[in-house]
Amino acid sequence: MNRILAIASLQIRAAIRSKLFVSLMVILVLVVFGFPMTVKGDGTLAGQIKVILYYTLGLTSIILGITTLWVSSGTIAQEIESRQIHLIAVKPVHYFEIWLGKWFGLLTINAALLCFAGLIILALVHWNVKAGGKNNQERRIVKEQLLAGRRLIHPRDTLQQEVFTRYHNMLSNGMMSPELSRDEAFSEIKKQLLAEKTVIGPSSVKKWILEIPSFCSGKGYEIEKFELKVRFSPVRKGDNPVFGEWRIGTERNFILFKMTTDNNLDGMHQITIPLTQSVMDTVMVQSGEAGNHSNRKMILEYRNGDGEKSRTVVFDRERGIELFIRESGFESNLVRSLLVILCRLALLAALGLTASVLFSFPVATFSAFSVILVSIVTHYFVVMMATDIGSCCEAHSQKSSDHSFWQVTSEKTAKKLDTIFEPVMRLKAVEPFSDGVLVPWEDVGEAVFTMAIIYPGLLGIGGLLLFRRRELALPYT
Amino acid sequence: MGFLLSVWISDLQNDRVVKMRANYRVDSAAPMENTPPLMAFTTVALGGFSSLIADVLWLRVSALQDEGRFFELVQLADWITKLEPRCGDIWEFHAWNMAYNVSIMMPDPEDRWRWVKNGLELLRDEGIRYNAGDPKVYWELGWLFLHKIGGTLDQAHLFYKTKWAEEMAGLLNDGYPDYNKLSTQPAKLAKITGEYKLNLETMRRIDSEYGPIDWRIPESHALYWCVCGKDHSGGDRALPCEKMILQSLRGLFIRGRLVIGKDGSLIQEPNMDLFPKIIRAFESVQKRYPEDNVIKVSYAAFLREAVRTLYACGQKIKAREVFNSLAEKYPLPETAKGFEIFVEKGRK
Repeated sequence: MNRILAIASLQIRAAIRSKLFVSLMVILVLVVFGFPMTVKGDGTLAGQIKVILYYTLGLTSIILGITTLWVSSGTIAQEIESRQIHLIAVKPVHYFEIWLGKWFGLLTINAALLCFAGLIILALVHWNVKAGGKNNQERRIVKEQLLAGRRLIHPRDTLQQEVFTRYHNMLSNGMMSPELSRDEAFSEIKKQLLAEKTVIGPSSVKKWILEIPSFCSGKGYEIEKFELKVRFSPVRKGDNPVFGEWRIGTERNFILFKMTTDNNLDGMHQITIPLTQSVMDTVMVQSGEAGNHSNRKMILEYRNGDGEKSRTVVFDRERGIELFIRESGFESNLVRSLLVILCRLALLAALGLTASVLFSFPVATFSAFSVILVSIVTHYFVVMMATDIGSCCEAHSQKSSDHSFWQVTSEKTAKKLDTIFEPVMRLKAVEPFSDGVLVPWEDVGEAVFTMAIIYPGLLGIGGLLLFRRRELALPYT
Repeated sequence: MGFLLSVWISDLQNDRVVKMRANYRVDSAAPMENTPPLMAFTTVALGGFSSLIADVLWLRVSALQDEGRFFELVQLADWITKLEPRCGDIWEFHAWNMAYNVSIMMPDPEDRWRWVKNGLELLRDEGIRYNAGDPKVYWELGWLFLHKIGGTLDQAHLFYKTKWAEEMAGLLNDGYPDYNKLSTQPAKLAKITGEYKLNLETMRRIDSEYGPIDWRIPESHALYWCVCGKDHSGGDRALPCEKMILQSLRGLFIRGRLVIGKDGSLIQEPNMDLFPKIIRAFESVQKRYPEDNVIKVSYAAFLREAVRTLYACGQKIKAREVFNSLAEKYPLPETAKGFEIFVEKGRK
């Protein structure tokens, strides 16, 4: 362990000596302080703070990511080229310890820089909230909605499952047209179900079940930490207002609360449904009777007015119904976001170091950046393919005859590759943080496990094997 | 040697070419001097890459808009336009996107107004600065005033009109500015020229040529920006602005007198004093563009509106005169039946 720490400290001293550390601090100060001076929000304090949070943390993450990849790609490669590695390699130090020491060194530098950036962001945001804002109302919104870690709960999404159930029911009842292929049938059913789930015509009713985690609903929960938001828009322009009734209840008692919506304007309607202490008490008690550790179920219902009074409305599938539960403060959410970013940097450092063991500095840098580029592009395409209406069932369908061999092969390759990249890409820190959404400890734990232990571990083993086989005493000119 | 010689000759010719471009008004604006560093960086240092970056940012705009996350759009529009500052179409698109597409997504009129203003400000404060010679940019700004604020398509149009009238009333002496007095009020003057980018000389010229007009009304500002667009362009390039000037004048005739009701509501009434000047404007433009059919149709439509408006306001003799002129210039089946039937049909 001492040997690893000694190599890590050498790495840190080299970074300080080469002015890398100071340069990065200066760049971070310039970016984090300079950016808010030029930023333009949407005209509200909340918009301004969101943009500041998103871009300052995002830019910090990008700058440190690129630098980490660059520096780690050069660390071992340049030492081999300049023969400095001989000074270490001839000592009783295992190759594994050299790799790990350098990785720890880079990780420590990144941790220090992230702490520094985090402190600046913290100071900057508090200063902006204090200085900006036309009134206390705006400041209150920012404090409650953005400078917090709010757990976001969506209604359970059972679309995929329902597609299969309906398909098999139709098939067994002989309701499926023989002209439809399996893919086409899935696609049509999915479209139908999506419409049923999101479009609510006049005189129609729609229910959503929101599951409140048991740890949020225990004794002493605070009602002011709960916020229920709905988002929908009228399908087309018309003379009628959007008129309907919202109800909150449980499986035993459907109407604990009622509220009417009556708004004549087109556009996206965003409503906060007030949750009172008595309603939430009943939800917690009645829906929690199954056991203390079970999730509490709140049923939300929208009854659209009849055609004389109201219009058809459509709900956003992903952000239509959102229940926020304030779980942590801004500072702790920032710390968790920084930890996820640090784990990502740890992975980048491991990738760069392994490339650096195998190749010369320029080739290692090029290779490491290429891997990152391929992973981003692959993930992007796989996500795009997944959002395609018919693709949810593709895994279960036979090979479609109208796809070329090249298309089928490349799609399969992209999907296989993305199974490697997806665990890393899935974890997000900057976006939820800037929206005031909780970055949970579960995500941090997952980030540590995948991006700081498993993937770097695999890369480290690969690096070690390659390092041992690398000829260190080649005559470089 | 040949290459160096070519560079040297090109350099010698450069000044002359720049002057010729300015004379013939083929540039969207004069070459920028004292360019801000960010602008110089994006236009010069990034070179062709600036378009690629603009494309990526544009994709982000579309994605965010689809997700209903609008808070970042002003910043992204600012970057995209700065990456391609001399392309008027890009400024126009983003201003229109904010003023029309985004604003309509807001259920609260106050929020809608903020987005309409974001669109206005993008064009007025910066788009025109970098494309001073592009009449299309002025036209688009005029259109936002004429159609988005002045029109009735948006359900919140009354809110926009009220807000704009409130802003202008305090600044411009209830819509009819005293120019001599204004020039002695530095604070007001700074706001008019600095924030609203209005030039007092141009306003005075517009008032003497077409008015006096009520500057609280959005059509007056559509008129102002199209006059500016016309001033900065020549020949056929000015035609769209000329047409919008006539369109704004028609609007000012129909609802150019603003009355604030006891409950604070806005009432817009016809301003018939403008009639002779509007006729003069139509005839002058028609003389300059005798082949343009749209102007002819628009003139006939204005005369039709004028007859009915004058009649409805009790100016029956004047209405008959205008009707006779309409029947003479544009004989239509509806004028052939006579004055009484024509106005009666209008009332129905």
